[in-house]
Amino acid sequence: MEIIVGPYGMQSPHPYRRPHVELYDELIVHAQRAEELGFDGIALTEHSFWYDGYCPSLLPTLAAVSQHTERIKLVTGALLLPQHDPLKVAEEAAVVDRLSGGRLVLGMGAGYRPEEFLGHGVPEGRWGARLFEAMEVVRLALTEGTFSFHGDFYDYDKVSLATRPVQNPPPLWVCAGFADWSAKGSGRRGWAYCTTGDVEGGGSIFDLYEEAAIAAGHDRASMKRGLFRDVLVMPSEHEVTAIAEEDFWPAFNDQFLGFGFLKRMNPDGEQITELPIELKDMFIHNPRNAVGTPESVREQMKPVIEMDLDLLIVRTIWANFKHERTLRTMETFANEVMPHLRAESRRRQEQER
Amino acid sequence: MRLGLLCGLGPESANDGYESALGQIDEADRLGLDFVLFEEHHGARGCPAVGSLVTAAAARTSAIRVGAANRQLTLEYPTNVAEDFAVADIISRGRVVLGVSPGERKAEFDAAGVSWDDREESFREAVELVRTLWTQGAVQYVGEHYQFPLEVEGQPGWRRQPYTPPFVDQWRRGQAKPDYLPMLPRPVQWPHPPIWVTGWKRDTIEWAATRGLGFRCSSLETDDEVRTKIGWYSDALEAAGRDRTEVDVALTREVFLAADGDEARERALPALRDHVAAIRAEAIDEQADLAIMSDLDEQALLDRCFLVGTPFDVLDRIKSLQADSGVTHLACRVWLPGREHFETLECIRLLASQLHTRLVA
Repeated sequence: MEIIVGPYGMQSPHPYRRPHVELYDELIVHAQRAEELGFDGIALTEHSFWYDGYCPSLLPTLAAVSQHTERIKLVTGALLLPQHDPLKVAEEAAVVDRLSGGRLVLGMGAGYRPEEFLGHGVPEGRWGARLFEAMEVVRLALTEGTFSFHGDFYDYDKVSLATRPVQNPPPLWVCAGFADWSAKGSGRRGWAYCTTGDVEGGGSIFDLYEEAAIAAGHDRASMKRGLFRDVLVMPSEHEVTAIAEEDFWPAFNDQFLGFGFLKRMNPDGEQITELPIELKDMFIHNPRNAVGTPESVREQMKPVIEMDLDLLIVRTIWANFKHERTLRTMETFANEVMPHLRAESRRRQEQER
Repeated sequence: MRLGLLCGLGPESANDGYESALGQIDEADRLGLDFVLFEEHHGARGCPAVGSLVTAAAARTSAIRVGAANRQLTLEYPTNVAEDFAVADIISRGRVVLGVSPGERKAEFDAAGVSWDDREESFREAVELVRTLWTQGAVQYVGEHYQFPLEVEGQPGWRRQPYTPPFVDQWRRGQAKPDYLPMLPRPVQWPHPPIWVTGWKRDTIEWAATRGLGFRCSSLETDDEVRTKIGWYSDALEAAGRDRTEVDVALTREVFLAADGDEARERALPALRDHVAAIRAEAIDEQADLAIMSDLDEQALLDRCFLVGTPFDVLDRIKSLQADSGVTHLACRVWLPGREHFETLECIRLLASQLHTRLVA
């Protein structure tokens, strides 16, 4: 199991306004620290046209990180592929893979905010279909010498990428939430699948994925499972409360509605503009977050070990997490939780053998 | 005059070339050269993803400007380019230059599925769109080739979001269909990173001047052709009521320096011959009437195009171009395929020690 820290979005939200130059400098500091602490990689996340300057260009940013790190994988989690030209993404991926000496991991998602599609000249609708088609273009471009592709959305005739990646190809992942179509679609096509878990944060979504994969005749060994998991871990209860109250909840309060997941109306029939305070506890304490001291987080991560993951993206950062605190979370996780996770997942693998 | 480098890093150099090129840029940064540009191509002699090279170079250096020589904006939706270079400007703390070009190889457009015949019109719209996104907040842009956001209608051009209550903040909006969007984060430089237009047609050059954009003359023109083209640019600039101090005028040259002139020529020529052959093989309509494409022999190329020789040999020619045309930036293509890393480094050191102070002063 590879353990990745992130994903970083370089946001400067209302509760914690920062100059972007500092955020990008800090990203490099965090990447170097993650490398020292023994993480396998660092992940970035993208959105466009978001008010807090959410990072819209992952591959150029990873190119910068590649120059200050030596070992860790550089993960896009996720690059919203339908909002880019897939051929361009393949070319950029090849160059970043070259620049990093073969450390790129390309996680790709569909995106879900209509304005992001429209702002990039992509019509609304059929995002999933676009994602899978575009991923096929990226895969062909990175693996085949010359390829042709004729689909509903993309059309290429005898195109070849002259600049080749170091890895052949870099690992390609579908990064998705918990929608059925993503699990089934990834399985059917035999793509590696990284998810936020099912609605309860559990691994049942992987059953759906494997069913579809086996039905399509894919080998069980070729299926790869990835998971995003929020982790708020600090050495003491007091610090856990501080990060949950001062960083995590304000982040959700500020960000969540804008992503359009919560369709709730005020009594006057208007869409709500503030998160209902009664939801606070649900946001902080739910099975999708591991919150607490190292001891308790180790306990909460047990179901994650049982998912037999290939990739675990440990989310230690949201929009307004303070720089120092995030580093401390990362350190606590790396020293107190990660060795346990690695040992347990090794033991399970050996048992299976 | 500012002095910098131009790197064309093709697939032939992708293996070890990126590492040596970045090493050369480290050296140029350390020695105080002013800028480095990367050439975009999707085949030989250029990197297909200049945005990533720019941020990588920016992350390694502290003072040198970094940028694209000829970003071909229309090969993808221009919003993505605006975002990439905004992030690059942030990572570099305001050292980015965006050189843009309407297109240089038909095959590249065919591969990307973009119309070659419309390249000029869509290029102009793309430049306007990028500049609008960089400088405005929530904005819409209506053009024939591009709309931002897609499907907005109205008069051609850009306009800001009017304040019409009830105003809904972006972060409260959720999944609404937008008429106006802000591109964020915005670049650090004010009002925006310099945009240098590369073009060969008189139309393109005059349009760049009218719009107050910089101009980068390619390395294909002879010294006299450079004077003519910068003359067109200056005239159009004046006609538009603009001043030369508003804009940058860059010139690109193949450069090779050594302490001994004959030795410089001898060592420079093999790589230059291949370079010229490649240029001639893929000339497009706009470049067809340039002297380099037909009747220049080797001696003429050395005398009128390339800057090869001792630093003092080339200094006079540069000074005369500076005096006649007011060239503000000289981009030197020092590395070519087949040229050794140490030769290139040595040449960069000569540029910095022998020419830089004399030209900047």
